[in-house]
Amino acid sequence: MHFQDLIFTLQDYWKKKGCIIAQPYDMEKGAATFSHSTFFRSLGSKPWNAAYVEPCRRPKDGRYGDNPNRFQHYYQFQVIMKPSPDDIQRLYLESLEAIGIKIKEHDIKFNEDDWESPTLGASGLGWQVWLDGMEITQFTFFQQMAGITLNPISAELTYGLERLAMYIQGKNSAFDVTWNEKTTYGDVFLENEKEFSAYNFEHADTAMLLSTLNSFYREGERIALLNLPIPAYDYVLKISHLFNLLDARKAISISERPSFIKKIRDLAKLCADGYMKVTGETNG
Amino acid sequence: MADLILEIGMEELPADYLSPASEQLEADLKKLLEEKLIEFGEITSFYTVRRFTVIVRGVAGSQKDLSFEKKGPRADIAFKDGQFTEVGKKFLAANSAAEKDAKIKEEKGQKFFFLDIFQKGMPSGKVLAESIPGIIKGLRFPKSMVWDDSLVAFARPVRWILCMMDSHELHFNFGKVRSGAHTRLHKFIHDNKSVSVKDADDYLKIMQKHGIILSQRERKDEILKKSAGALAGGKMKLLDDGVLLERLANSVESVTALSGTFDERFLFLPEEVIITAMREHQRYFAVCGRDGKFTNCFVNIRDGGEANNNFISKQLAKVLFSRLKDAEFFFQEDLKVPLENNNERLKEAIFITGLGTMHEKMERLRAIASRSKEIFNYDDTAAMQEAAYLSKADLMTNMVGEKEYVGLRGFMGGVYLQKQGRPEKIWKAVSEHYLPNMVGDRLPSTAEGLLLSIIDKMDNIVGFYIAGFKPTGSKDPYAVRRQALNIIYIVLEKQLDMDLAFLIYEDSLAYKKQLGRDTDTSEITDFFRQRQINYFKDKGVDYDIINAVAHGKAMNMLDDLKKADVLAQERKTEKSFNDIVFAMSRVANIIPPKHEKNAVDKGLFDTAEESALYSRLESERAAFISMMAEKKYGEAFAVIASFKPAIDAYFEKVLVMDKDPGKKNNRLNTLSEIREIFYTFADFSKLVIDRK
Repeated sequence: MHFQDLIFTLQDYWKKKGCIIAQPYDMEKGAATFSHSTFFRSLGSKPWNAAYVEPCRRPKDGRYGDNPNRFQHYYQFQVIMKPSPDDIQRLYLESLEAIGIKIKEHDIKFNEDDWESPTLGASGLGWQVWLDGMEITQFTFFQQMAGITLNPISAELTYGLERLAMYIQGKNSAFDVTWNEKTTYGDVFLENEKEFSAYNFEHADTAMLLSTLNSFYREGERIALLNLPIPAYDYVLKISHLFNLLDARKAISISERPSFIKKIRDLAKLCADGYMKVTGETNG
Repeated sequence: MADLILEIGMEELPADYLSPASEQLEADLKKLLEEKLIEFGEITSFYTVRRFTVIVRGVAGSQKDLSFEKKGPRADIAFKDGQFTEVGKKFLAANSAAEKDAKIKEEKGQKFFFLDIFQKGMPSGKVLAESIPGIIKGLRFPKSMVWDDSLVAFARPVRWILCMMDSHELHFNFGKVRSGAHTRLHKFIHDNKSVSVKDADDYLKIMQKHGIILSQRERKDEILKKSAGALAGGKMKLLDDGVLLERLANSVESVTALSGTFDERFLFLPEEVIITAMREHQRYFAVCGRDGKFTNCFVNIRDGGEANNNFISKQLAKVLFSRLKDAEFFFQEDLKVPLENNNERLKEAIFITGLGTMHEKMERLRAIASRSKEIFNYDDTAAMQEAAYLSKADLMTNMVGEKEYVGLRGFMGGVYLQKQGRPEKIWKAVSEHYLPNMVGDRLPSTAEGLLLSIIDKMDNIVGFYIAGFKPTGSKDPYAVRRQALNIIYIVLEKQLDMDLAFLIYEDSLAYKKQLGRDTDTSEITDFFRQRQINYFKDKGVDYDIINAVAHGKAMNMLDDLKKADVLAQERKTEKSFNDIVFAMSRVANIIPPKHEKNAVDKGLFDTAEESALYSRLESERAAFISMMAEKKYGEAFAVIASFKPAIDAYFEKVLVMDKDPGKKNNRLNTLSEIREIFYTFADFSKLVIDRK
């Protein structure tokens, strides 16, 4: 199964389970949870079922394309179902069957996981799902988003697409994963990894990034206070990415880290509260 | 009599939640049956990662009938002028009784109305169905969650509940789950299939038939048995790992063991690194030969199913390969620079919020180490300083900086220092200074390691107090209690002759110098005293002996223990022990708290007993003081005992509280001197006298 077929199959499977197949949000983010389709939609009482591919950036994880398994840019396949169906675990296991992983023929483990995102003020309980010793999915029942206690509860499934593809194709490096018959993942992304790693670790202008971060924070706050939480949230994504870049450049000392994280969380909270207000939503 | 079965079916619970919750469920159910007056026989409970099961045998079909006399209002209030008053009528109505049922009885000279009450027991099934949901809701977990809009909370979602008395279903709701006569089979092997159950015995048969092992002990045995089978040939065995075994048995319902191998080239890495990669990351068992030699094999436990094992083994090995490759990279990178170069980066690592960096902590450890002579009576202060200086550098290495290997802190520092040619004294001290991790754990094997361990832990404890993180009630997020106990454990196991109060004082001073913050050290010494008392209690020391010896500003626990041993021994063997203690207490108790001690004036003595007692004190004083200094507590106690006749005679003849204030004060002065000198041994007034 090629990389793109893996995505098509998962999309097809979850489409049949009633999810809309959403498209990624067009900004940098560290995880699919940051996407509108999860952050905003897990709030409030309206049902929401969506599946989507989300490109993610983690500047610190880049390895110049040298490491078969670590990249500064990769894909997550995200499923978010609200309220969480009673048979969500079974639905998940069947999705593995759909991509050719017969659950009776593998060692599958649901290992406990307390998930937390300090920058989003989000937390949940669930599992890391292991397939033959490898973590392939994060499975979370959200309890809080932006500090708001949620009801109904969303179930979030986050598949690591590169890992799954490596596994299914029996490849030792993600760059060898076939995207289709002719093109590999490496053809598409190896050069990106090299250049972005160099930029993230060596060349990013930290003074510029820092002052931009502060400007963006102020702008986000200003917009949020105008009751425009969705545009304001763009600035959460922007400053979160700038923070990650600065972190990769080791420009943020350990003692400064908490205050940056708090800034992002505070802004995310303003957006979430604003969203609840403008949509007339309540939780709990 | 019926068999009650309750099974709570759920999605995979965290491994360490299972056993405590299972115990609570059994205890709470037992308590419920007792409170509800439902007779029952044997009660057994089981758990797997997906179910809590309790079976109660011999449950009575209904609650016990109750007949008793119910006391009502006073007769003169309930009955006036030949008829029942409002109060009386209310009492009768509340108990559905007629006027003729009421009878009058006298209690403590007053007359009351009484009713004979008979309460028919309710059917047990009804009572249990009403009460069990409350028990399930009451189960406590470190963290709970909600999963649907019923908002019931549990550690993970509850998906089914089986509850029956014999073949009768007990119905109740827990959130959206309705209890009934169905269980579910294995999640993978049997597709989580729901099957109906006839009764408790049928349930056990179904579980057994489908390979679901309900007993934790059996799962452990099965893991060991199957692992041995997977290591065919009998030349190899699992490296003992009780924690991992427990954890794995807590994660599966049925057991399949798979073995595999990793590239031998990694065997140059310290075994601890490989074991950590396997157990912390992958939850594989490490394997050694019969000769105890570490091998490149591992064993993985799968939750049932035999299909495809060869393929799975290769996958498991592949994942481990990339883990070990990371570890290899970290190791080689770390060795490229001298470990101490990492010290500079400790300035970037926070120690405790508000208490500066790890670099500052290291500096404090070094300052205390430089005073090892004064604090620990340890001579090689240079070695101690060097060890302290290098003790935290490994926190900044690639290896220990990775979350997964943080448990190897200290150890990795030791490895790197050894490879970089530091003396054994130094690298061993660094390697072992986090030990023990708990009471009963291995202790550092060298003098320097022991002292460094104490210095490090005490710096933590004092720091937590300064930062306001002292333990309160059940809250002790920084494990301050455990660290204090570990210090006491080291001191007493290794017979370290030292004053912990002095170390606390020095630590507080070090914080003050460096950060301008300190704390009330008496709060910490009191805290240590409390731990000491508990520790001595656990060692079987009588509580009054503990109280008698564990006092004073200095806190030399080894001395305290030795004195306690002497007192315990004397209590057992010395016939007049109680009398000696009584004499000493008499001395102590007669001195008013407000008495201001002055020098004794021998000229004011007017009885032979006074002179005799005082001259005895004068002649024994120097010897006693030197016995105490030399810690010859047996001999010192003999001196104390030898005072008994003189004290008895004194109290026989001398009126201490004389009318003449001069004489009175002089006598109190004499007794104060005696009390004070013997107080250095023990506070005898704390000893309980057993006057049989």
